[in-house]
Amino acid sequence: MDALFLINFALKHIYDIFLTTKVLEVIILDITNLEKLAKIRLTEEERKEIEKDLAYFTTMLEDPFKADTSNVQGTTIVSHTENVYRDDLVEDFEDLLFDGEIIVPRIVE
Amino acid sequence: MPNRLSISECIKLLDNREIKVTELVNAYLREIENRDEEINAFITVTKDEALEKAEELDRKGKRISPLSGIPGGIKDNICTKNINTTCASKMLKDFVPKYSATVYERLLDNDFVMLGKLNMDEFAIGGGGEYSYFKPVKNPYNISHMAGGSSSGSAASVAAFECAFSLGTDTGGSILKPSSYCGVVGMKPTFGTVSRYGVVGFAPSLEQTGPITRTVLDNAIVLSKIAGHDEKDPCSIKRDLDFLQDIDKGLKGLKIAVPKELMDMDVIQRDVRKCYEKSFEIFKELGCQVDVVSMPSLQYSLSAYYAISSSESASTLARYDGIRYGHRTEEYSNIEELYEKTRGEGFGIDVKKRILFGTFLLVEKEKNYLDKARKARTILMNEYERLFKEYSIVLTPASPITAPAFGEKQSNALEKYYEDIFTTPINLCGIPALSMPVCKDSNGLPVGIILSARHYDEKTLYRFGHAFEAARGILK
Repeated sequence: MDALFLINFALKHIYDIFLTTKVLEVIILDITNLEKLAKIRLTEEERKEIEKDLAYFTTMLEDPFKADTSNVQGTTIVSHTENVYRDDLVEDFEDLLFDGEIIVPRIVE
Repeated sequence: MPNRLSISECIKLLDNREIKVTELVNAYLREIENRDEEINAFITVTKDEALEKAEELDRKGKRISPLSGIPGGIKDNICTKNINTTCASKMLKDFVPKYSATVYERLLDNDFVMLGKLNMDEFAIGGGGEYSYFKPVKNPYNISHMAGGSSSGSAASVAAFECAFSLGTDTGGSILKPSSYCGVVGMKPTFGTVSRYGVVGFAPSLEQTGPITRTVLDNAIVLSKIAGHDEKDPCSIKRDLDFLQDIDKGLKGLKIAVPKELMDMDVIQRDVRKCYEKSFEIFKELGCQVDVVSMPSLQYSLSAYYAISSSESASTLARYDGIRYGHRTEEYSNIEELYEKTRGEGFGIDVKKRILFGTFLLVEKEKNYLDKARKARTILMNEYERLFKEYSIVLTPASPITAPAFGEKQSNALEKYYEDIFTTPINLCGIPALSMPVCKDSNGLPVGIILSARHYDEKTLYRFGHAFEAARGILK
């Protein structure tokens, strides 16, 4: 790595720390709620790492706001889509069939 | 050493019966045995099935396709009936699919020999190859460096001569970047060209499956056999599939665009910049015109990509809840706890990060980041469309850096995601792109470039790639 690259790297890092400390508070408030919504239980160590990274992510999100998007329609997919219809095929479920319906095994008591 | 040959060289030998399929397959299996303990490219090696298939093909004698008897590996997020498909995740470590992905079936129909399932970043989320539940993939050029991701095993196995070719998947550079880090040729085809039926994805509006090989010609041969419309995939397209028709036509008079904004980036390493600029010279010697052009909307691509892919991943990966299949936590007192503990235990840190970020974006209504990202995507697509009216390809480095060493990764998330600055616009626009090596950096690690073209124009990419490779020679 050359010197210029290292200097840029260091400057960016300092700038990132500044940004992180600015937004971290908001993200800390949100993270527990996000865990609940996403149905993922985090360890304390994971929570710390994710909080930090979410803060970086959110700073990056402001970029598209610089663009003039008036009269622009959003793209959700780049090609056409076609519905796929398939017959419902039931295989290896003979033991579970009852009166034309499938009895799904109980998982949670 | 037959496993050092290209696919096109193997085809000649097999056609002339100068080599048996079993000899070829044994050479690859020996390489896997000797080398994969340190590279970690494979999660599952299907040795018995490979030898059985090779013997069957030798007995049969007749070759039905260029890929008959050619040994390949499949990324472990592509469903293979009766063979483990783990997505390199604890969540699916014991998952054995009941059906095969269309892309795998197409290879079987062409009598390829399956060597096994290839390691990757968990659920194809990650860019280094270090986020596998099983083991990190190491770069064959230097095992203390990463192979790139998420198709890390796919690129490393080809570079290490453990496979003649492999299949990878690409959502934001997952074929292009590891191909560059490992010095091999990777193709991300136009969105909808290769069926995704049976491919476990995480961001359906961006993903595409493609081949990784050691030469450009080999790549075109494999793509020709896996592409094509599939009614089981809602995004599959009907299109021209002759990828080889222009490959020998030469490049005289063709125009190449070099984005000014990317050239100006200070995050590009000096050696990468040097190799990138060397590629201009090679293309100029081949008769091309290389112009620096402005693409201002490229600045939105990274954030638009992360907003869209993360939101889609939050929704797509919601199916892994411990109920239908996959890992389930052992102790729980109610269904909520079952979900939360299962997903907490089953997913690795990078997947969790992406899901939580996506969840944040989906519930955040005030700023509506996702809507803005989709609009930025449209602007970017329009910009590429405008450019391709005048230029045949856009040329960029494959990554601002060469393969990072393990433990020396960037210090924050933003640094890490900047590695994807050249690849994410390609997936947002659904255009095809070819990653190929140019030279090595001062540490002996490969440096790659990316050539991208308008929709459905893979044949132009192969034309450029083939001429470039002939001029520069294959990286060794």
